[in-house]
Amino acid sequence: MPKVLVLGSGPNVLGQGAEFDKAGAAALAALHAAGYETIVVNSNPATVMTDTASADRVYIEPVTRQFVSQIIRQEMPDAILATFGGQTALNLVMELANDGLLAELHVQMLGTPLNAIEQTEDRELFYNLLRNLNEPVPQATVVEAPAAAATFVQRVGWPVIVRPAYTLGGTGGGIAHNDKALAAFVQNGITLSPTGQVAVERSIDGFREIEIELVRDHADNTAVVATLENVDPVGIHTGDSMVVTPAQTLSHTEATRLREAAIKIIRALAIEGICDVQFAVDPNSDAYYVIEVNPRLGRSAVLAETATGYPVARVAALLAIGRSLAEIPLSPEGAAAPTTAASEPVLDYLVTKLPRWSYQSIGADRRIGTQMKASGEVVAFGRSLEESILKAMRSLTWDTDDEYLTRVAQFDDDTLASHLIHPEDDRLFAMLEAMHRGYSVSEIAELTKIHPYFLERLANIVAMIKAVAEHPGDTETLLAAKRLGLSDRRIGELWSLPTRQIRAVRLAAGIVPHYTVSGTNDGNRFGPPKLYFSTYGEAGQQTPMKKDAVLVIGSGAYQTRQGQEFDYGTVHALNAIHRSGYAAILINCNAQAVSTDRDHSDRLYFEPLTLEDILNVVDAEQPVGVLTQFGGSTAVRFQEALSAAGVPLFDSPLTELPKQSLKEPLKLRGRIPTDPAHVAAAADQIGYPLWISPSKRHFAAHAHFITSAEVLQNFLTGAHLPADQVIRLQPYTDGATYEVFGLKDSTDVYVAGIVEHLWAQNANVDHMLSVFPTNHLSAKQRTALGRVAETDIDQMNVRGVVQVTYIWQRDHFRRLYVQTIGGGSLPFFAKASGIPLVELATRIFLGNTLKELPLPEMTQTKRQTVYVWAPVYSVAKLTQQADDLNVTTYHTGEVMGKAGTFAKAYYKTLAAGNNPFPDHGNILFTVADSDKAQALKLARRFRAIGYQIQATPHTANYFQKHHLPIQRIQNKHAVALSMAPAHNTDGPQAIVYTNDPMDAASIRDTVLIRNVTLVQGIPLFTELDTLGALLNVLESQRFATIPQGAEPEEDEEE
Amino acid sequence: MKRYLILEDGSYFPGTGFGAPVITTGEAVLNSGNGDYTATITDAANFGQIIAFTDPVIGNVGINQEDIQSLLPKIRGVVARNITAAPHSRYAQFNLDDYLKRHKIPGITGVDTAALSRTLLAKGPLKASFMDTADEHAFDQIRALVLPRDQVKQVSTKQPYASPNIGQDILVVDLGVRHALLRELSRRDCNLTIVPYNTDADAILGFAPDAVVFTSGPGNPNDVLPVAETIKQLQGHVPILGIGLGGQLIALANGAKTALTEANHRGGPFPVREIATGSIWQTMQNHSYAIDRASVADTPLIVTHEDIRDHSVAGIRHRQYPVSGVLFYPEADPEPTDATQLIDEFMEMVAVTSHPHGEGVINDA
Repeated sequence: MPKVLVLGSGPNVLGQGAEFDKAGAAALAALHAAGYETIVVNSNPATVMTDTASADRVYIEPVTRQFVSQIIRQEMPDAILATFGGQTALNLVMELANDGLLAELHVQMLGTPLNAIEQTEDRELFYNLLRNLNEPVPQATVVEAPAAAATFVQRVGWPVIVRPAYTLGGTGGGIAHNDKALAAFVQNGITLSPTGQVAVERSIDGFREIEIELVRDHADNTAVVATLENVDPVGIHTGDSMVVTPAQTLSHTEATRLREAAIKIIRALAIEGICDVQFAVDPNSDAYYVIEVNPRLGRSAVLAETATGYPVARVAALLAIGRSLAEIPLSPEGAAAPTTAASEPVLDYLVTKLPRWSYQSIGADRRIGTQMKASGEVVAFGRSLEESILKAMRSLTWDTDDEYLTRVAQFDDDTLASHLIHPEDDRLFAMLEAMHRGYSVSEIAELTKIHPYFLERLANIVAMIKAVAEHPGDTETLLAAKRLGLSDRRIGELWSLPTRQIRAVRLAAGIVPHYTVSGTNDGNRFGPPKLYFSTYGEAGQQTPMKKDAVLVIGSGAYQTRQGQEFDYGTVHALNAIHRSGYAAILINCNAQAVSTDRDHSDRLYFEPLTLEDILNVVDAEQPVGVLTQFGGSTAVRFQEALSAAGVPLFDSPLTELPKQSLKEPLKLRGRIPTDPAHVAAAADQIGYPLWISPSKRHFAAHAHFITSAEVLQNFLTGAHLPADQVIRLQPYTDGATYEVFGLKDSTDVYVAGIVEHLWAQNANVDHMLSVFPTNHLSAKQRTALGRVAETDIDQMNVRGVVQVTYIWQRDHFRRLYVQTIGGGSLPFFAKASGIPLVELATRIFLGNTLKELPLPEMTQTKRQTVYVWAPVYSVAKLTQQADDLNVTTYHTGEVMGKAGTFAKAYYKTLAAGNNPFPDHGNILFTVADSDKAQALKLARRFRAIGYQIQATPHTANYFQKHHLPIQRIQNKHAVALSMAPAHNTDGPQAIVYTNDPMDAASIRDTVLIRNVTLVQGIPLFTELDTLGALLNVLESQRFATIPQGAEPEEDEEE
Repeated sequence: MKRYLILEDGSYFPGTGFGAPVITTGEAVLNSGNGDYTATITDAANFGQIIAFTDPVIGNVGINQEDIQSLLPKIRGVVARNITAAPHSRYAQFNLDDYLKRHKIPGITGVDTAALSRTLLAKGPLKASFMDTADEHAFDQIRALVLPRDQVKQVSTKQPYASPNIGQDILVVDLGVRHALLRELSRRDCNLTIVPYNTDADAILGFAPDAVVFTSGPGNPNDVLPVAETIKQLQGHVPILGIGLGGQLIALANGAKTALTEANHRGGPFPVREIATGSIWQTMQNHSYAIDRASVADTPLIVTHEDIRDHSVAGIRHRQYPVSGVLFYPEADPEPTDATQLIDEFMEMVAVTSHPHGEGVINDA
């Protein structure tokens, strides 16, 4: 049996996310079915591809040269497949090939040949390739210094696009209109590019942007899967663009020309699998340019798979192992005219993708451009473009919708025009607002460079809104409005009626949606008919399921605090429902989510997550129960309304649920009026120091550190908060917290295990490390905590998974949070403990009691392996926020390290993340007085293995007094802020910082230093024990080199 | 204006009228192409048909000359889910709506084309009518309707004409020729003579062609059996290429049979395998009749191409003579160009077999 190693993409970062898990999981299943022995490496524990059942052997290890080389030597696979691991895997496989390792061990590279990677990543080779194929590229050059870029610009003129080589999501690139910007982009790009190269291209801003996704087999046969048209023209990253398919503004001749070019390119690159070719097409002439080729599966391929039903990932995997297109059957057995992978999908519907920005992902500078800022995306299907656009807009979730509508309505005309010219995340809403204010299609086209065809569609929407407003109560208008895609809610606003009344009117008039199966109406069947979408005024194809159905509500678009880890729960709940003999039905709108892979549900409703759309699906399917627990806050917020509408909910409805279900401080949840005395009283109750944050639900804004009642008073006076402002107070916690994972049925509680979270120091920064089994608890403490949690959970009116977080305070455990919406550390705990909590919880919802379920004893001590979880930050994307002290930092991904000791597991998380610990260089110490003695010992050990030590004045004095040679650094703020660029060899390569927990200034420094280190990608250590553990690993990796006579003495004591 | 498309099976589909506000009858067929509505509307092979587009939007880039396949569209109606005007498209010489009005073709939009195409996939082509009402009288009229069987006569040129050029002398028998074919041949410098469908073998040889092409066209090949007879007489005297209807007639000429297809062969791209090489070509097709594969066995024909979906015959060749036929459009412009190599190969073959000019003069017997 041939053995193939599949590389995962590691932690999610902006621009490379969960879509790779979706594709990778499907690819592994395809390879397994084809008789291959599969091995997968991925450090991201929130993935389905790292579930034990996903492959023959799963390595949750760093996707790096060091670890993957070792796994290859250990496993001796016949082949390696990098197609499904994004840029990370492509770059790694190139390193492995260049090392000679693959040749030495006769490991074959499948799918994407090495020179295809080089020719598409190295801009110079890329230009040569296209010139040889006679395909047009924009005038361009590759430079390694700003001066060369300036020379190029003198020749071609402004503006120019700067693209760093081998980076993700356009990181560090941009459009330069002047010398200053050019120098900055080029310098930044050179720093970020692993090869130090930057491509400078003549800007073709405003061209239409078209992407073709196509596959090729070893016999040179091809099939085009989808042509995607970016509504936003060139100049806005495709990840931040509104995208539709099929393409709408290409003439047939143009479409054919691009198609032929894409085929020529995939053949020249000899890719056996999937390729994505991006074109810039002049709106005013026949000219076009090839702007980008991705010789691997990416975000757009996953979008194409969802939109067309063509299983891109599965096909790509089979093509990589040498199948030909016609040998890959796709339709269910027994179809009259079987569809194979050679068939090209043609759609009788339209699909719209909208980017979902999160406050944290877009930051203060809300302009969108060549660098991707979206944290997720939504996809909607419709039988007209208008319908799919409107459904996509409400898929963004109505909170955002309101937010944007309110925002653009407040713009004066100049601001609005400026937003049309310089797009921000509110662009779509700004265009609609402009139409309401009487702008013509051609005026908006002029300002936005968006093709008028799309603006005509928006104009149709605006005209319909007007028609609805003018015909209150008219059923015919209502039908027309529903057919165009307007929501009950919007119609209700226009008719000044509550949404539920519109629904009642609609149902009374028989105006209900019917559900169409995607991808069957031309006779082709790219798989069993599973994906349904709603449309009005058409017959539809939905028929009742043969068995009782359970509806699972998904978590929708990925947001910065609600990512893949929530979808993980959805997937496992669906599988458990299916295995329990029910039909598992999912409603979700996120094409990147693994849950929306057709293999994971019996039926998938690709619909917006609004009450209206959920109730419609409930009406159509009549499920025996609806499950919301694993859909994050997106799903949970429907509990009350669904329950009120008489929908059978499996989860306890909100009336019985304490509000602790949101991850908020227990005592201070809910709205706190901005009555200073009231706030002060609440603050006293928590105790100082604490964090205060005026925040909206989804916009965790600036939090402030408050050390005393006086500081609080000053803050409240100076902040000028609106009267209805919600304020959150959160205790400052120092040291470790403990999260207990439990299950509850109607009567019993099961405590499954405890995860320790280290460094959960404040409300503002995601916590830094999780450990399982716990690192700092004695067996006695663990037992005590288990009992405390059991009692706590027993008193809660919840069922299913319950996660309760505690802090150890002197002599007892104090409860901090309760979380009942899955997500968070749940995938980590499930992987580390081996207890399938989601499955067990789902079975409780389906009627099992805890007594009937196979529950392992608390597994803390049985295992000899230590698991460490660490967040990964999208570092470079945060640059513009670096100097903001009170910034909210957040992670976009996560990694897990697994080893026999904490130290080694921790080392792995560093290796797997973006900030591997340097193997030489400067370590900066700036520590609290109480830590100085311990820090000195550690510094000595670093010196002994060749690191240089830097220290800030107080620490420096202490070190020098004890004869440790160091470099004195004057001011820690100045140091922290002037560390750019990241590869500066004079600055620190790692920072050790501890503070005095009762000193406000010291704690503010912590936040500052933490933010700066995150932005700069420098490892930061705030706990000396952890650093000591890491040192053990570093020391064990090398030999001390000591001159004669300088052998270390006994530690000197103060 | 509310209008109805009514079908002989008793079903009807409401929608909004566009194009010419006339009542027409015809044969409803589906077309699953994407973005090639202009070529479909102007393809003479669609004579007399009411085309139900599965493409969710048509009209989005208007109508432009490049894509037109015949000067006077002869379809009986257009059925769509959405039509759009294209006032801003630089390609549009006409708007779809205006173009249909000019050619007196009705259209209906806002139709549940998904359900309609499911009906047509399940039942095959159905008699249909555009009506302003969907009453019993209308259905009676449809049921009484006899569809024409002389479509080829109606679309073929009445007189021979020339499209001069400096290369091989190719005679094109017009069963409903597409401009794309003429362009592809012109691109290869062919000196073209286009003759009516009923030109007999003797007259054809009288033009002394280097090769003869029988074009695509409308209807059932069994309705134009005299053309098959012509092919039979020409075989062995001159290389022949048949496309679509022309290909089906080559099959009939050599004793194979044709029958209505079960799978959809209208639209594309549909994958076709060249059996000799295993290569897959993405092709556009437009036919309701297939060559019965079993019936090929006892003939001098061999199957050269097959449709990957239903393994139906997509190409045939004569064992002895340079005679071949295909059931897809090898002419690109602007279709996928995978299959244009077929024309190249045909021209190479013609170059080998054709007599140098001045030699091989045919004597009138």
